[in-house]
Amino acid sequence: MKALLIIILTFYSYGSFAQTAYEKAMSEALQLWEAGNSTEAAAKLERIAAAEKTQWLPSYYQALILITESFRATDATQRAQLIQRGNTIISQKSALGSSSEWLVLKALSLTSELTADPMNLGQKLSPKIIETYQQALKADPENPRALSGLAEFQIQTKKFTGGNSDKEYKDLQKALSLYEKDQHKEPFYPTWGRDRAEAMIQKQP
Amino acid sequence: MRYILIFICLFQALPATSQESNQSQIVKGIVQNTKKAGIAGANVFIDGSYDGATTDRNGHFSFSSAQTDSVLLQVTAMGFEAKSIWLQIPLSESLVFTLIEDQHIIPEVVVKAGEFRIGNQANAALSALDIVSTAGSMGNIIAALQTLPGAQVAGENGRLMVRGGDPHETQTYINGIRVGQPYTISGNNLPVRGRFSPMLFQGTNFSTGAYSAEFGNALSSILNLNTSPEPEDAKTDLSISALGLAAGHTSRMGKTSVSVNTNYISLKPFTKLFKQNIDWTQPYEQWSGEAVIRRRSEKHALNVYASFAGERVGFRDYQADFARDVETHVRSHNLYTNASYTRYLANNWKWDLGIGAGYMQRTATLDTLQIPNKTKDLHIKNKWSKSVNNSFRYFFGLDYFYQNYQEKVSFGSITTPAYGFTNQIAAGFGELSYRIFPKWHLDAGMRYTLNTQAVSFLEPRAALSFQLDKQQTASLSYGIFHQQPTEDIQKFQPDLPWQMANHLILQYSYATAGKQLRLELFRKSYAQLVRFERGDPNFARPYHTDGDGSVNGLDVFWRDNRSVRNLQYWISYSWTHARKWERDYAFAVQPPYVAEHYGSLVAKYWISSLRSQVGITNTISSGRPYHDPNQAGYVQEFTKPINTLSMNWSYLITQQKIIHISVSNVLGNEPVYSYQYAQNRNAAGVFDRQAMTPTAKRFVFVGFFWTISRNKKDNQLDNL
Repeated sequence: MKALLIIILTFYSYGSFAQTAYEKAMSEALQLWEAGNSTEAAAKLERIAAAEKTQWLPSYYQALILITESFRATDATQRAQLIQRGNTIISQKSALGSSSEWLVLKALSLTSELTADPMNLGQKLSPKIIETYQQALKADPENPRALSGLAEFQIQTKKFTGGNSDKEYKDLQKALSLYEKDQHKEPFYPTWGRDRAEAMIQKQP
Repeated sequence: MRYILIFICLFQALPATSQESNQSQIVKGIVQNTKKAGIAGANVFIDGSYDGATTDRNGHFSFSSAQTDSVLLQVTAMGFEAKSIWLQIPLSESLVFTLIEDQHIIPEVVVKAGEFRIGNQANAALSALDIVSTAGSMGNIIAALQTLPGAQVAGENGRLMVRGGDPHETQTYINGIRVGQPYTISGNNLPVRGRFSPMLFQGTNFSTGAYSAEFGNALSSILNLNTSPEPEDAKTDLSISALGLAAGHTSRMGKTSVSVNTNYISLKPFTKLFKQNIDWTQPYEQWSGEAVIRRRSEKHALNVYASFAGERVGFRDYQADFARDVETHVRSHNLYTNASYTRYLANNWKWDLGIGAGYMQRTATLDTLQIPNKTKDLHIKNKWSKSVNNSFRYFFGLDYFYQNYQEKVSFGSITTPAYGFTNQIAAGFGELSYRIFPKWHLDAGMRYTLNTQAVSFLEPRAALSFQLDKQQTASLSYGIFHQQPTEDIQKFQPDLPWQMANHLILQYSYATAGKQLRLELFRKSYAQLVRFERGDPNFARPYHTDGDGSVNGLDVFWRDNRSVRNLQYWISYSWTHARKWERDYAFAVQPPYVAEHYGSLVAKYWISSLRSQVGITNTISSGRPYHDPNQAGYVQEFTKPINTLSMNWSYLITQQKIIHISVSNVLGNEPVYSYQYAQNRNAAGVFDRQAMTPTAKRFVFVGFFWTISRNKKDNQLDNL
C-alpha cells in the first residue's frame, strides 16, 4: 500500500515536474521584469517560448515587455526596433491564446508609435488604435485592460483636442469592477492595468 | 519499506544528477557585429530547452546545458538579423557569432540627392498633413510645395517650377502613372491650381532633379503623388465655404472601400465681396466629381481613381496688344482615370500594372477669336520589382505613352483646319539599389526611350550615398534627361527633336529626432532647347533646336519640430543662377520666370487651450528680369522683390467639426510679377505695357468642415 502510494506520488511529482519547470521559469522571468531587468526577462521569455511552442503567455509577456520598454526609449531608432520586434511577435503568435489580450497589446504598440510624433501620426493612427481596442472588447467584453486602455487613450487625446471625458471615466470605473471579477484559471494570465486605471480615476479633474 | 522508499528516491534522482554532473556542458562564446564589436543583450539559447544566456556588455555569453548531440542554437539581438545554427554538443571551443544589422527594422535612411519625400516614411522631410496645413496653400498641393527648396511658383501662373526650369519641365504622376492635365484652367496671367485634392494622397515624392529611371520625359523634375493603398472606413464628409460646397461619402465592405465626392466651386461671392483688379464676366466656376475604389488583400492591391470636372472662367481686361479691354472666356471638360494594380508574388517579387487615361476639351475665346482644342492622354506601365535581400533590390519595366492634341481657330465664319500632333512613346527602364559597403549605397538605372520622331536615346541615372554617421549622409546624383518640346510649339511643328538636360547634385543631410538640415548644390546643363524668332510661336516660324543653358545653385532646408513644444517650422532658401537661350530670347539670359533668390518660412503652432492650430507662411522672392523694348539693351530690367505673408487658423469645435480661416497676403502688398509689352509701337512710338498683378489684393477663405463617421476620430483636417 505504502509502495503504491510512493509510486503514485513519484509519478505525480514527475508529471508536475514538467509543469513546474515551465511555471518556475515563468515566475523567474516575471520576477526579473519586476526587478527592472527587462532585457534578461525578455530573453528568458523568448527561451521559454521556443521550448513551449503551444503556450502563448511567454510570447505575450515578451511582447508586453518590449512594447512597455518602447514607451521609455529616448532614442528613435531603438524605439522603432522595440515596436517592430513586439509587432513581429504579435503577428506570429496571436493565433494562440486570448485574441482580446493580443489586441490590447497591438493597441499599445500603435500608441507607442503615435507618441513618437503625435502631431503628424495622430490623424493616421488614432482611429486605428480606437478600432483595435474596440475589436479587443468585441472579442472579450469583460476584458478590463481593453476597456481601461480605450478609456485612457481617449482621455489623453481629449486633453489635446478638447471635449468631455465623463463617459471615459465611467468606463474606467466599470473596468475596476471587471478587474475585481477577473479570475482566470490559467496561471500567469495577464492581470496588469488595475493600478493605472486607479491612478487615472484619482487624477480625474 | 523505508529502504525501498529511499532507494526509489535515489534511483529517481540519480539519472538526473549524474547527467548534470557528467554531461552538462558549458556553451560559451561571443556575439559581435560585422565590425567585430561585441553586441550586448543578445539572447543565445538552445531551441526547445530553457538553456541560454544574454550577452554581457562586451558580447560574451556562457551557460551550461544538459543537452547532448545536435542542438539548434538560436541567437537573437535587437536591431540584428536572428541567426540559428545546428551544433554538436559537447563543443570543443568557444563560439563566435557575427550578426548582420537588420535593415528592414530601421527604415533605411538612404537620402538621395534631389529627392524630397513627403509622407509617413521614416526619412520623409514633410508629412502629407504638413503640406495641406501650410498657410496660404488653400488646399492646393502646388502652392504648398513652393515652400520647399528648389521649387518656385510664379504668381501669375500658379504652376510648379523647379530649379530654373519652366513649368513644363515638371511632370506630375499619380502612383507612377503620368497625369496629362494636372492643373485647372485659367486665362492669361491668372494662376491655376492643382487639380487634385491633397486628401487623396498619402505620400508624395518630389524630385528636384536627377530622378529615378522609372520616370522620363521631364527636363527638370517629377512630382509623384501616391494614394493610400488601405481601404478607408465608412464616413460622410460635408463642407461649406466661401468658395462652394463639397460632399463625400465612403462605404466599406470588408477589404474594399468606395468613396464618392462631389464638389462645386464658385469664386463669384469672393469677387463680389473684395475689390478686384480685373472685370470678371464669369468668375471661376467648377463642378466636379470623383470616385475612388480601394481594395487590398494579402496578395493584391487595387486602386482606381476616376474623375470628371467642368470649369469655366471669363473676364475683361486691358491687353497691350489690342490697346483696349478684351474679353477672354475659357471653358473645359476633363475626364481622368488612373488605375493601378499590384500583385505580390512568391520570392519577394512584385508586379505593378498601371493605366492612366485623360481626355480634355477646352475652348478659349479671345475677343472674336475662338480656339477649341482636345487633348487625349494614355499611359500604360508594367513594372516588376524584386527584393533579393536587405541590401539588394531591383526593378524593371515598360512604359507606353500616347498623346494626341488637336486644335482649331475660328474667326467669325472662318475656321482653320485642325492642326496638332500625335505622340507615341515606348520606353524600357531598369534600376538596381545596392548596399555596396555597410555605409555606401548605390542606385543605378537606365532608361531607353523610342519616340514618334523615330529618335531613340539611352538615359543613365545614378545616385551614390555615403552615411557619415547615424545622422549625417552625403550623396551625389547624376542623370541624363530628355523631354519633348512643349505643346504650344509641337502643335505647329510636331517633328522637332527632344530637348536635353544633365543633372549633377551634391547633397549633405543631417537628421535627428524632429530636426532636419539639407544642403544641396546642383548643376544642370541644357542642350537642344527650342528657339524661334521674337514673338509667340506660330505656323510660319522656323524653329531651331540649338538653344542651350545652364542653371547652378544652392538649396537649404531646415526643419525643427522639437525645440518648442507644439511648434513646427521649416525654412527653405534657394539660390538659382540660371542662364538659358531658349524660345524667343536673343541670347542666353536669366529667364523671366526665374527669381534668383527665393525663400520661405512656414510655421504652425498648436494652441491646446483654444483647440486651434494657427499657421503662417512667409515667402520672399527677389525681382524677376524682363525686357523693356523702350530702352536700350536686352532683358535689362528687374521687377521689385516680392514678400507675401499668409496666415491660417483652424478651430476644432469638436473632433469632427472644424472651422478654417485662411488669409493670403495679409500685409496687402501689391506685387508686380512682370510686365507684358505690346508687340508693336503705339502712335507715340512707344511700346505699351501692362503690369501682371494678382486679381485681388488678398484671398480670404472661410469654411466649415464636418465629418460623420462611426469612428469619432476621423475629421477633415487633412483637407484644409
